[in-house]
Amino acid sequence: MRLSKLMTLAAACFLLVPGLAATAGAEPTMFKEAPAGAPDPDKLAQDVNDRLTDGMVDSRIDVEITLVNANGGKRVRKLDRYQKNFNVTDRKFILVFNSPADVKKTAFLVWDYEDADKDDDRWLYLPSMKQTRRISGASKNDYFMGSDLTYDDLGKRPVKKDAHKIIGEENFMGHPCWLLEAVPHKVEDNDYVRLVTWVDKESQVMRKRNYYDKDGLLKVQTAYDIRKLDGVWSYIHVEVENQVNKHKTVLIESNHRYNTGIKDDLFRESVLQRGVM
Amino acid sequence: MRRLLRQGALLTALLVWPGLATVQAWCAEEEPVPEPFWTKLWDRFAFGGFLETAQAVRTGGNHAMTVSFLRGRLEARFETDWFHAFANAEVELNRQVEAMNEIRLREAWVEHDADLWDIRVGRQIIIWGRADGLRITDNISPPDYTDMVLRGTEDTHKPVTAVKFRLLGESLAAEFIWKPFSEPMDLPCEDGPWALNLGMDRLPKGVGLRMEDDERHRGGGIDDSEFAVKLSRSGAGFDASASFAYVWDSMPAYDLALQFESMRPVVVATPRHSRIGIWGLDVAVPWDAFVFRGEAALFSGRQTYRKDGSLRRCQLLKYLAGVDWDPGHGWNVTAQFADDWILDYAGNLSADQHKPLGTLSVSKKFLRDTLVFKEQVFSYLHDGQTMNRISAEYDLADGLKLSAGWDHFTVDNDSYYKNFGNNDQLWFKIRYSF
Repeated sequence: MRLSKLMTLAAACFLLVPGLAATAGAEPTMFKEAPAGAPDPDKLAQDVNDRLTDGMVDSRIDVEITLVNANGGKRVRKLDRYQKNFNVTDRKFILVFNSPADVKKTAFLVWDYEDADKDDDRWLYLPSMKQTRRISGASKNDYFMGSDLTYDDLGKRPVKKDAHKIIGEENFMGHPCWLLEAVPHKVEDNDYVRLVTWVDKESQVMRKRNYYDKDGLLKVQTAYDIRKLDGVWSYIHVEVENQVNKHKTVLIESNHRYNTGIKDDLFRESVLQRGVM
Repeated sequence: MRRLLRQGALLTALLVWPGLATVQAWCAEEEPVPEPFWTKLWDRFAFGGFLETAQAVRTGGNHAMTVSFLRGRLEARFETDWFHAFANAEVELNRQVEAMNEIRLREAWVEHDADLWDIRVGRQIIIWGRADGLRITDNISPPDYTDMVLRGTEDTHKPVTAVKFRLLGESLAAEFIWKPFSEPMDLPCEDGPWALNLGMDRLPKGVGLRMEDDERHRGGGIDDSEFAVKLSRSGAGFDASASFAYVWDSMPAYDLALQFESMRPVVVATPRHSRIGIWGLDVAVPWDAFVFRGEAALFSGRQTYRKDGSLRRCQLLKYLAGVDWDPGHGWNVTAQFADDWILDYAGNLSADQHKPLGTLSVSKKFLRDTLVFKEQVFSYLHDGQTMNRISAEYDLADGLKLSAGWDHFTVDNDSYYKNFGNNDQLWFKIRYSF
């Protein structure tokens, strides 16, 4: 193949994948002070949280989680997620595992409270025990099912937990973004010491987030595909990569069903105990 | 086998009939291009199961096998929004416990779910309580200790034929159970390495012991039925429940009689089950990284031996207090204290007034939760009898799990568990789930 053809092909690739072009060419602009016209950082943090549930009362989504180790070895978990929002800020959700076979029908019920001082209520149904067990709602920094996401990462991060600041701006995958820094008021054991979030200027959805612990950059969460489905911002393809051990979690969401009228009754321990959903 | 086939045919009918009704309704509703009827019906079925083998060898003495089995389980499930049916059957080859060599239908039930109530009818396993591995209020499905050492929680519960009806409120639930048949617990096989010591060595020389079969399996009439009710509260901050069960005690007491068989004296032990009422309470309270659990059950009328071998009905209180601690980083610690307390104790009883038990379990997950190391200790605090298990569990691949460990027993030679003292063992188990 001639060199010109190769160059044409390379150019075509950049044209067809604008995100790559934008990412490759972009450098973040860092602020010493937030410019005039920048949004209030606390409000922006709240907007990011709100985008996760705007327009949604309830949802049912199929989720595929692929865990990829540093050698490329993969393990796949498939689950159904039922969620319903209550009292504006609180939500209840159920995760029901469909695969692998040894965890099939394992179900996890969470009553998640936005109030940072209030522990979640959590129950776990294990088919091998035919029993629902109350489990601790405080261990939010443990990793969920071997993924790179902690229980805390699965929920909304309470805005009042952190001090926020807009530290820059960047075009990320073709989308102008604010760089929003969050530093916890109080760093608890195993918690992050800093988070930087790429917030879409237009939609206020989170497109990327860097998590830092006391040793530096710990992991990077990137949303490769976000779409508005039935009026709800939906994360279709998200990857989280641990920068230390190079383990990666790929989340693919599909079959989004919003506001179908899921009843409050579903989110009860007594329903979980049935072992069927 | 014929019984199994009959049960299978009945189950198939139960599975298919409501499914046909549901799918016909869908086909009628969905215009203009309905999916083929049989495709829709088939999509509602799901199948699964596992293949498992466990092998264990004594670390002392003759290094004989103590556990050796291969079993397979097949599960079938049919689900719609309001109707569920489930059945599972097992086939097992067991070199140590002859009684386990069989094809058995374990569960076969149908369920109807509504928003505020549900009903499950058929052969099912019902597990109550909040304790970890100990049975306090958990008295609906009798214990199955036929081959218990390397089995899971569900395996050590006998399925029971029952109707379970529940009323479901926002945070309250009421559960009503009717068991038309009562069944005894299954003790470890008499010929196996885990047989309980029933005191044969205390009989005078030349006197034999014959255990009559425990054939308690009455049924049909209200007089023989068992009933249970439980009221539960579950929600923000704590879970709790109160229960009452009017059952035949699944644990038999033995009537002893001296007979002569072929001119040889033999003590004949006949199992007797008595009616008892069991009042239960349990609670689970999360606080920070802890979950505190408590259970208590009053067995009103449990038969207990006097020193002369006769029986007396007693008030037995079983209670438990425990805590789970999840400090993070994959650690979990569970500690429990339990006791069997005879409230109306008298000095002429052969049992102690208290039988305290402590358990401790410490586990740590590694390699993204694929490897778990666990240390478990069960110890009777009044006599020091102890079981200690060190184990590891590793996910070789999705659905393929390897477990291995070492068990160490410290027992009294006069106790039920005398034979366990020879059974310190190394073991492994492999399960492939599909």
